[in-house]
Amino acid sequence: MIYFDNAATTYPKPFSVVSHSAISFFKYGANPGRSGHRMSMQTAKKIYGCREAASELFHCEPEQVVFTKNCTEAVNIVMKGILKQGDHLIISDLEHNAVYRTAEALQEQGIISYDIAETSNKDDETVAAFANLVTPQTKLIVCTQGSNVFGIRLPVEKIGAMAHKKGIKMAVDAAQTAGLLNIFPARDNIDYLCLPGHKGLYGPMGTGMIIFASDELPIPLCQGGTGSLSMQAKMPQFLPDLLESGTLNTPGIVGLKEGIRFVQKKTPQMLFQKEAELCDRLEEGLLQLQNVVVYSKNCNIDRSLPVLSFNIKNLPSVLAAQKLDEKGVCVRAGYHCSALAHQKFGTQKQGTIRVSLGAFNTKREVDSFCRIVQKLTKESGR
Amino acid sequence: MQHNTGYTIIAVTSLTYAFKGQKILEENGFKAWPSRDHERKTGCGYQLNVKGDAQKAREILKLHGVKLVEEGKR
Repeated sequence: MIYFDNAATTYPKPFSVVSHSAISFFKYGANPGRSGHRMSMQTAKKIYGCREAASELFHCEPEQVVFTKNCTEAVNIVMKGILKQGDHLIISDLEHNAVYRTAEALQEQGIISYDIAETSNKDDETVAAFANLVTPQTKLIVCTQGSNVFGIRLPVEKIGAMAHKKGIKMAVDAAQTAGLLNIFPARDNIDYLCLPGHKGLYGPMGTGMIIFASDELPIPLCQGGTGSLSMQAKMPQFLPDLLESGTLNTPGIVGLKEGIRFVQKKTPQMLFQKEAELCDRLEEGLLQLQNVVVYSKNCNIDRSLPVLSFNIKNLPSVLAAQKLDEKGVCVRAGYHCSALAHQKFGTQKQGTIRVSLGAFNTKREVDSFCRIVQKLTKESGR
Repeated sequence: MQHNTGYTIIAVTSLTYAFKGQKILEENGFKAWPSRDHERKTGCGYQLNVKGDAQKAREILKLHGVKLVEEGKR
């Protein structure tokens, strides 16, 4: 099997992720942060270990790391918790539905208004597009750091700098970049960094995080037990307790720590470089094929991510992916939960076939994939 | 609060701060360990048990951003 669907979730996971998650059911089976007995405290210490690992990777304090179930939940917590009645929001035209649908829902409920900034391949034009949409009511900008469909990287640091000059908060969707780029929220003008644990950080599915670099905290979406200040009716007003009501996903978080350690050991730079080389090889291979349209360009750390979209002429992308699956290749096709990105690229009719690479992919797999696609183009051309 | 077994209790706002404080204090030569705070009137909570100069330990914790619970608000 060739697994090229790492933008959805990375596979396989490092062995240490699997083994530590599994062991947690035996060794760390008590509820962390609730009781005082030894197993509960040991479990809580393992959870704290993951906070520490994340704080090292993202250059923050452990208490600024809030666990969520995925990046979508992280984005929802920030958007719904920060935006108030009458606020204005700006998003980019490459956003995932996690951001787009949340913005739309908040507007439909009459809480906010929002605008979509047109991004460009020139950073200054992209920043200007955001700046031109700012109104006195603009409270928040939410922007993806990289498109999950076309791999285009956006200059969130520059957009954040513009936002901060105008007193606007900056949230970044790092679904495709966490683990591949060196992200330093406080340095990069990011107030809220939303990210999945199960993609570029190689943790189990069901894990995500928000990294806070701002003291302005969201109103929590969920209230409940935190194991702290229990006799008060109000939620504790400090992190991470404010946003972590209820029992945490211990097996997931224990595994996530190992995923983060894997990334730290390999380094985001080296992981990016390896995947970028594979992506370039893939693009080169696909461009040589007749009846193949490639939508992405050379993988460059300043401009793009190792994610590539293409189509085989006339063949619906979902059908092409099905045929690839029959030949042992896992890719995602269709719209990738990103309506805006497909509208921008004019691919809303056919969708695209997306290839997304990971740490365990090889040149051999890339070459095999290109041969399989070539065969498919010939079959579909008959 | 000086405990009769020779260690001092320092109440912290959360278990996250207890673990953070434990690490910081150990790096500074203290013996410290977290546990449930049995005296907390505001509900469930955690404390750091510290052996050594309690005043200095508090100062180190505050310096590193560990949120402590004031004795009167415990």
